Amino acid sequence: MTLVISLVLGMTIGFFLKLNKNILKINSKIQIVILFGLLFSMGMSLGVNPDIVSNLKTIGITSLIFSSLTVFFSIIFVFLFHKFIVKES
Amino acid sequence: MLFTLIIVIAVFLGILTGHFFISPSEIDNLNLISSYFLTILLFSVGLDLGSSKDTFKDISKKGKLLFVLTSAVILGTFTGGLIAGAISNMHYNASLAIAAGFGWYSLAPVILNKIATAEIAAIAFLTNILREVFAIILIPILAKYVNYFTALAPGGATSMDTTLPIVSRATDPNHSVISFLNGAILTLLVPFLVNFLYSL
Repeated sequence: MTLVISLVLGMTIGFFLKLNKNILKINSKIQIVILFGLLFSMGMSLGVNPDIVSNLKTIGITSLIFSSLTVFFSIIFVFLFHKFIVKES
Repeated sequence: MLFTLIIVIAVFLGILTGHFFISPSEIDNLNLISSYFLTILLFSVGLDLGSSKDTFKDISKKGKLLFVLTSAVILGTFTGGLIAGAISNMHYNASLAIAAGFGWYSLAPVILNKIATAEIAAIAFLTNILREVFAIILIPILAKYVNYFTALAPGGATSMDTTLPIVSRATDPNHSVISFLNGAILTLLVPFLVNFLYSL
């Protein structure tokens, strides 16, 4: 919920203040730095979690099959739906 | 390509650092740090979206695209889940329930721990974590080499929070809004679908 509020708050401020290009450029640079921080800390949470590491050895292959196939077919379906439904109309 | 490289390096450096240099007792603090970063990041993405004229334009067209996207992600996810289940010798109801986490790894395993076995819950946990990792890596690649719309496919329920900043950087405000709404719908569907599909 905090996350949605934070996003909506940013949108509201952006919408009413009509930020100029320079501020948005700075914002974009800050984003890259924070995104790196986020992904790094998410990575640390994955690496430090003993459940994940021990699970990887036993159910890693099964989970890899599930995750790669669900992602793969999501991509295929979205690509095809876009090509044949969105573009046709 | 630089963006993808930055992403991959950040995630893998994090995993290695976490695994070799940090004590597992710090896990709550790490999650707290991640959530602070994410809160600031979503505010910053919000500023971008709010400032763009495209965000609130063509609402009905966006609604149609959203419907197409969410339907395709659900169908694709279930298709992948069924095939993965067949390969792994798993019953179709468990396979669909694992897939129906849509990347939300903190919820689906909790539900499955109650209604299914610990092993199915553990597979759901790892599967959905890996889905998020795949999404983080694939979104910029798909946006660059296929199209922006297809880049919205892998994120699933994470499209509204953790992978939204990546979508926002890799595509445009138009697609970021659709991505957010897609993630919100899938997030609402997860508790219902995981319970329902496992009971089949």
